[in-house]
Amino acid sequence: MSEVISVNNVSKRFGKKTVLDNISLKVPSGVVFALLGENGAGKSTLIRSMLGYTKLSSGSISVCGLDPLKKPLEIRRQVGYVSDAPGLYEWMTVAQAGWYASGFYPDGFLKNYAARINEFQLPADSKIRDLSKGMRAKVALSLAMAFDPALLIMDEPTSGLDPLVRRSFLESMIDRAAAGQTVFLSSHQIQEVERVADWVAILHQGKLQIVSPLEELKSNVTILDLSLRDPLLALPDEMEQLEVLHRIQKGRTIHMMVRGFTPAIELGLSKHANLFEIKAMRPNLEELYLGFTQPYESIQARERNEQGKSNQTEVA
Amino acid sequence: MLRANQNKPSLWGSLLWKDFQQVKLAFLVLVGGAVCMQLLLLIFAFLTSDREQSGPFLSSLLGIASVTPILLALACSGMLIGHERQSGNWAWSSSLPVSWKKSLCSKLIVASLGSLFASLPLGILPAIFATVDVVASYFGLTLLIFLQVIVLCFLATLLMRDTLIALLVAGTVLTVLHSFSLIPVLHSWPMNRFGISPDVAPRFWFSFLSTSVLTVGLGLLVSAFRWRWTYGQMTKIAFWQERASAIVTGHFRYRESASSRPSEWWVMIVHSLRNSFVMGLLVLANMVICTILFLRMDDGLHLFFVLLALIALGVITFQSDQMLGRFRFLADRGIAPWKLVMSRLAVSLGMAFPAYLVFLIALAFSQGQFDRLMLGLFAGAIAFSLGALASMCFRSQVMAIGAAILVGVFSFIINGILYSWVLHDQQMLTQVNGGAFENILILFLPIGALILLVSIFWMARRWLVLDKPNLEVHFLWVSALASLSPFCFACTFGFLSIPYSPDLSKPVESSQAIEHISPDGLSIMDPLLAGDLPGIAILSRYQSETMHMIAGSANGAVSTIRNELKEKGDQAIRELLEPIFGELDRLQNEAKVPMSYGLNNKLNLLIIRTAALATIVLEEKETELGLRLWKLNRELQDFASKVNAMNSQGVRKTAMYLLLDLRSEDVQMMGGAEIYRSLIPSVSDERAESIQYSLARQQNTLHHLRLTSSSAITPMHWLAVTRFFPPLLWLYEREMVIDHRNQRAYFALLPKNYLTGEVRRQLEQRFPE
Repeated sequence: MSEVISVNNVSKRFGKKTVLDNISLKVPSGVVFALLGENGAGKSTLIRSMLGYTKLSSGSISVCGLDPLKKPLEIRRQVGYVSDAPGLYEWMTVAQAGWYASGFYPDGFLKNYAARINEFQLPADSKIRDLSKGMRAKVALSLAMAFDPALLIMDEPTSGLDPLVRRSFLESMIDRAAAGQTVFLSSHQIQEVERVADWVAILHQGKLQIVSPLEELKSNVTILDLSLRDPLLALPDEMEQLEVLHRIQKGRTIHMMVRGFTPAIELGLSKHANLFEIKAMRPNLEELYLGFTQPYESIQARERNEQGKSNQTEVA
Repeated sequence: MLRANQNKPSLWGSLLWKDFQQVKLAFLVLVGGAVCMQLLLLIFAFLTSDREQSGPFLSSLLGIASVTPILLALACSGMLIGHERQSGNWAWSSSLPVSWKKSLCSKLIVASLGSLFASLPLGILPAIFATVDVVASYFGLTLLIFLQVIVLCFLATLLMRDTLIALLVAGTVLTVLHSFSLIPVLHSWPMNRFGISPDVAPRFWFSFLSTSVLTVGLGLLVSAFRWRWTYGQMTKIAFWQERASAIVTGHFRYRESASSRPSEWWVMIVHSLRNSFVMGLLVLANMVICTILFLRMDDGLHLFFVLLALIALGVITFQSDQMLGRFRFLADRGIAPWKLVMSRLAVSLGMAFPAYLVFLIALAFSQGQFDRLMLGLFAGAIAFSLGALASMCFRSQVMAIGAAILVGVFSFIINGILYSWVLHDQQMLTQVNGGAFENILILFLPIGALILLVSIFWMARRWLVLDKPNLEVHFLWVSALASLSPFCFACTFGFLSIPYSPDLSKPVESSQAIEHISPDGLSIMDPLLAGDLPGIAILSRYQSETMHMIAGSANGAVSTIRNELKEKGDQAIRELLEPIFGELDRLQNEAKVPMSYGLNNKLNLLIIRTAALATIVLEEKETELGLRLWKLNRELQDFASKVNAMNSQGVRKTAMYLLLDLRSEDVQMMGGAEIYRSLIPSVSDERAESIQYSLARQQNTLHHLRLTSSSAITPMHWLAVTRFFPPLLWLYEREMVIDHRNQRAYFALLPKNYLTGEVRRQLEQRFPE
């Protein structure tokens, strides 16, 4: 499977603020690749870097085998891009927007565009300014897909779409991937994305937390709910073998997201006297996302801070 | 409707179509407006064909034709770069597979070629009425300035986020850059009647600076465009950004610890200040620069720039709230519309009013024009209110400022034309009554500003509450109402300012007073300088100053000739005469080719010199020579009216005023009043009623009027307005009686039963026969 996008040790700083911190990822062709992250995580900056809109502080990016900064036009000819706020000309009608854009693409654009706007039930003679937010998003999508690009990059493409259209749109992404085309999208609609994404990357505060095929990720990660008899006693030794991604302790209950949980470890834990209940389950994407955006280390650090503060109060 | 089998456009076709559509409306409005203005001027020129229209008429035509492309350049920069960037169209366009070079080329082609082609209709009238070389000179100069405006405004809108600030900065930079080369031009400006003298264009510094601006500007433009199109889209250029954020952080930290929350008014005023303070300062800086640069000119261009700045200050009132619909944030929090309007107006008015007042007072002290203080103040109030209303009614800054300027200029021209037309067609009334009517008009000017300000409050709720308030239409009719209301009120209630039963026994003292205050050297031009001749209408300050200028040049000729006469005696008169005859022969030979700018000047100079010389010669009792010179003057006038009537009209009139100002004994020496029949051209424009009434004003020419006019019909009878609008007629009647109270002969010329009421009764008592 060849790579359509290759991001190598990319960093981007705006003044003193680091927006992307040493990011590396590879997007294979023919997949739906979802980039997840909270607001301000750096998703849009990464996407704009892929299209040559941002000069990198360090590292390199290759899209369809091309350097975006050196060959931006070639990339635009091969890549369909839908930004989070597509600035369509408001005075144009839906038909005029397609006619205008068709001048820049090979023959067949108008035919595809007409089919798309029929599919989305868009009024061809309405001006863009008179369309709702969702309808504008549909026009932008139609324009990006009308030339049948090898790679479709979309920044929050489904925001503003109603549930039916969103579902149908996301399912059409699966068809595209099945046809060998690649879809790279960033989204907050985690549940929707989960149904279509083949690969997932999670970006948190400019750092890439994980890049993995979704199924592989789900199979490697386990959510554990442990009920303790005495929370002051140490956890069993078997826990040392697990990579803790996320952990929250409330009273006698510990909620954990771990990697490397095997039946053997489960058996070992079940024999431990301090644990009277163990629940192990496969996580969904939302739980994975929350787990990776609230990593164990940060929780530990927060807990340490809180502990320190309470000690100081006691001393005082 | 979109068809799948529709032909797709070419890349260039798409780009040019899109860019043209972006500026189409601006082209239509600006060029359409400019053509309408030219046509209005043409109609006015025909209506008042012999009334000092040649200079201002031609200069206005050329001015409109020259300024419109520059306004188009500003609009194109605003729409093609500024508006695209602000609305996010830029980001989408750049995501299409089109190179920055092609995009830049397309925008430059549409802006430059489009503007020039669109401006072509504006050149038709100047081409008809002015000589080819004058039009060509103005075209060259306009093109040079236009290209520089395009380049600098494109560059500024690329670098700055706010379109209005960018255009202001570009305008300031261009003005300051050229200030050095403009300074020598300013002295000759009034002599050339309009703008920069055509023969100044080749001046070294002007050419050097223009070329430098174009070369450096183009280089920077290409780099900036490429940067903005590719990886510079999100970069903001703000020198104070970091410092400002630190202040804001500190401010909020302080507020968090504060026990009391700020009042609603305080928050609104601070918000308004943060919105528009920097832009307001920039506008004021522009105003100061333009005032300093253009203050030395006598045709009020500095006032024009100041009024323009006031419109801009008005436009910034609501523009920050309009941007991205920010006003909705306040509307959603239940802020009362009147509070929002008050807070915004308080800031912009707080900046505009003191600055403008200082300017007016300084101007009044420096030029001694205290009588114009109120006019300036009220005109400024209207300009500011117009800008403020436009900023509320138009979402786009460019459209708001364009609409406000266009409506402002339109209302100025229409008011000027109406004012001049109504007054001008009452030739016998223009001396005393012109001032009276003007005062009445000034008195009613605040009504225009009041209508605009009240409309702002009236529209505020609609603006804040409705999704599509359609305020553009409201702007048009409200501004039309505000523009015309002072004139309508003045016409309706003006007669109240004139005493209904004037004291007709009081003699006219104005001419005697003028004689006393005039310097010796100007005695020959007294009536002309004082505007005492009824034929000279003081249409506006501009025209009045034009008359001073013409009078000054004639007087200069008089002094020169007088000095030469003192030195050489009679011999000098003959020596002076010979070259004039020679020049006339040569000019007649050259008349087969179109008159050039230089030849026109020479011809005009000859007309003035022969008239001035004839006057002096008659003073020296050289009757025969004087008569010969006047006949020669008539020949020159006949010749001038054939070859280029428009360009020599003002000068021909000046010569006629000199003739009419001759002493009675001089006229008697030449053969009595009958001599006017041969000395006044019979077919040219100056034959019309203004001269006839001028003659009527002079005792010694009254007989001539009787001989040449079979029926003396007053212009009041031609005018439907005065015939069917009694208040205006009452105004004219009363003023006329005051103006001509001592002229029995004048009243004898009026048609029977022309005057009515008390005025007629008093006159009948005074002149019973």
